[in-house]
Amino acid sequence: MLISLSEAEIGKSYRVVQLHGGLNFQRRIAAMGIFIGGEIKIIRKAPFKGPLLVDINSSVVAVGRNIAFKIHVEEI
Amino acid sequence: MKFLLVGQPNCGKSTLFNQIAGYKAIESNFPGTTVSYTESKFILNNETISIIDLPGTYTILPHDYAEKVTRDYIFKNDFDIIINVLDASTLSRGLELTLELLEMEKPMILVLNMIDSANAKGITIDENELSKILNIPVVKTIGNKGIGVEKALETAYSNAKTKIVNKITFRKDIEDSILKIEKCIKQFIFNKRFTAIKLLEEDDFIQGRVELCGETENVLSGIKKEIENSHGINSAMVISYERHGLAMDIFERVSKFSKPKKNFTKIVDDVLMHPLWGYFFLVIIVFTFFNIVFKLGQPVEGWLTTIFDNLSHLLERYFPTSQFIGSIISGTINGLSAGIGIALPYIFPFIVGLSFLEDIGYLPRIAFLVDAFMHKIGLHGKSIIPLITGYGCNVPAILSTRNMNNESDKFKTAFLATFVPCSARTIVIMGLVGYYLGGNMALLIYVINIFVIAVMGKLLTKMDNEPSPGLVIEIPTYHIPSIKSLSQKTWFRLKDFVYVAFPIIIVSSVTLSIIDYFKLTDWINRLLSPITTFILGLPQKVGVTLIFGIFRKELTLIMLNQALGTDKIATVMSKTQILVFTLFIVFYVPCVSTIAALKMELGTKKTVLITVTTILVALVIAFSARIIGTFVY
Ligand SMILES: Nc1nc2c(ncn2[C@@H]2O[C@H](COP(=O)(O)OP(=O)(O)OP(=O)(O)O)[C@@H](O)[C@H]2O)c(=O)[nH]1
Ligand SMILES: [Mg+2]
Repeated sequence: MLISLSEAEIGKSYRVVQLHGGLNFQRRIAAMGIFIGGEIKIIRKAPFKGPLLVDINSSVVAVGRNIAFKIHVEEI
Repeated sequence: MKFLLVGQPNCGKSTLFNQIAGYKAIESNFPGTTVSYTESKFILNNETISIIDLPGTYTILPHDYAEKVTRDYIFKNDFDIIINVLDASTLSRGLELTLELLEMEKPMILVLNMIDSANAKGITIDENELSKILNIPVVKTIGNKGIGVEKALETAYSNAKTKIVNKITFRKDIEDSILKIEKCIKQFIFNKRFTAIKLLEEDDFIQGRVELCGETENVLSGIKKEIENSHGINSAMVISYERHGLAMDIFERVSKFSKPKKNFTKIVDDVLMHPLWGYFFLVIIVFTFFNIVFKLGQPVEGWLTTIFDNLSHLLERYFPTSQFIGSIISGTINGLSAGIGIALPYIFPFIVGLSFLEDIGYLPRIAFLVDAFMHKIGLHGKSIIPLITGYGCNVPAILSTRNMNNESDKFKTAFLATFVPCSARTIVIMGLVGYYLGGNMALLIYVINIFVIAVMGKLLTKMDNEPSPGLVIEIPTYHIPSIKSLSQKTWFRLKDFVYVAFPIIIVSSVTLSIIDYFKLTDWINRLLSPITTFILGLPQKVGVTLIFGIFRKELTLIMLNQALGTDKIATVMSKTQILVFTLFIVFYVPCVSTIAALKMELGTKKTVLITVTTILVALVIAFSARIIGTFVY
């Protein structure tokens, strides 16, 4: 089932399936290692609709909610 | 010979640079510390070599203004070798940049830094295998301990000018497409393949520099369609995907994995990034920080100013200020007394504290915690780093807005950063309000300031509602800073104060003595009295200090003693007046260095806008304080 990364749950791992954003958006997140087909693990979430802390190939990245919205993933 | 240090943010380039050059570039534990290039020279094998520390960049297709500095430097300058620095603990991502750099086929070596962090994660890297695959030398280093640095330099030296052959290839159909583009390229940068790849990636820098004929453009758009059909992704991204795949592959081939050591960072973050405790500790840390600065600074200020006081009374007996020479001597003593007695006691603990927070890696965590609030004022978490830097000094804060991803965020962040009370203004707040009205009142000024910044942010967003691109920032592992690196950094920043500010303070004091001697002060004070006495209800004599404050903010306090003819301010100014004066100083006009930085980053028009706004805000805030003050005191 496809969900946006912002709905993902802490402690679970996901595979990136779709990216809903333009070239600039794709470039920016690719720079941090987020690619379609890649794995993302949710480490924690900030309250008040704050960012998510995720593990991407063993580097840790904070991803704002409005960015996470555009990343669609499925659980693995 | 010229060596370039190129690598992703926070991999340790500046640390390696400082090992070679002596402490010349600030190193901190967050991505985006370095925002402009620093050059230094050293001697190796009897040859003078210049080495350049560049801002970190994830790719050579920049996403922000700091990364642009690096891209432009690589493309516009001659160099003999690239030293590509990688954080060995995030090797797979770092290799993507390496592969991109290799495409230039310029002389290059790889430096695997942070080997200690990689080991802690349970990663061991076979550098010989990596070297074989990439066809360039690989050296392992631990930058902060200086391990491997010499070997890296020797290797760079012996490989400089040896052009490399890039043996890395993408999948067949992509290579075929690249070849087709190459065939119709007439002008190229570095080499044809590199240029073809960059055209496919829609790099506007390269696009603007190679003229495309109709034939090339047709071929290019044909190929892009083909790729989009067969790969199902934006053709401009296809090369990134190729590099990503290759990098993951190489990483698997050269790495051995064992059980990681206890994850210290995770344990600490469970508290410091906790949805509840995280904020609790944020407040505690900030509160403790200012308390330490205040509690350490205040008694020292007391002792030192007493010593200078006695000295100046002694000298007064031999050189009365009614004589020209006497007035110059008293000006010099006043300046020295202020610089050493008032400024240093607060600045020193402040710099140590800020450097510690930077080095340990707490700043990006604050970005994570406050992102949601920053959205409310139209910014996002990344802006908090320039704002926090601003508490040290507004100039680097404004320069560090180069880490913002668009013009609007950059403008807003720089605008708000000029409102942040820098350490010079902290001297005034602590030395005046803190000293005479108590620590709580000083704290209140910081709270008022944050409130004003929030309101300004809100207003700016109302005027320019360009959606912010949002937060994406790497959160590094914690590093315990060594005493050595902390003291080097403290001295690097303090040196600036001692060498730059001290002379200005002394010259200003002497200048004030001289204009006093020639009775010009009254004239200036009268000119400013509509502001000082009429609106703010301050003694007319403070007028002249506002002029000096434009050069350096702490001069207002320093000159105040001299202007009022006493260092016991409380005897000549009421509590309300002290508060009003300080609030005005905190907000009015950025100092000249800040104005210069604003002009460089944002241009004249925006700088004027910011400067005028600060004066208006200062008047409104200080006037309100005057009104409220008359009721309270
Ligand atoms: N554990 C460990 N820490 C290191 C090593 N090298 C550097 N550091 C630390 O890593 C942090 C980042 O170092 P910098 O030199 O500022 O990194 P940079 O590559 O210049 O970063 P940007 O300027 O942001 O691109 C600092 O806190 C250094 O003390 C190393 O080999 N091992
Ligand atoms: Mg740096």
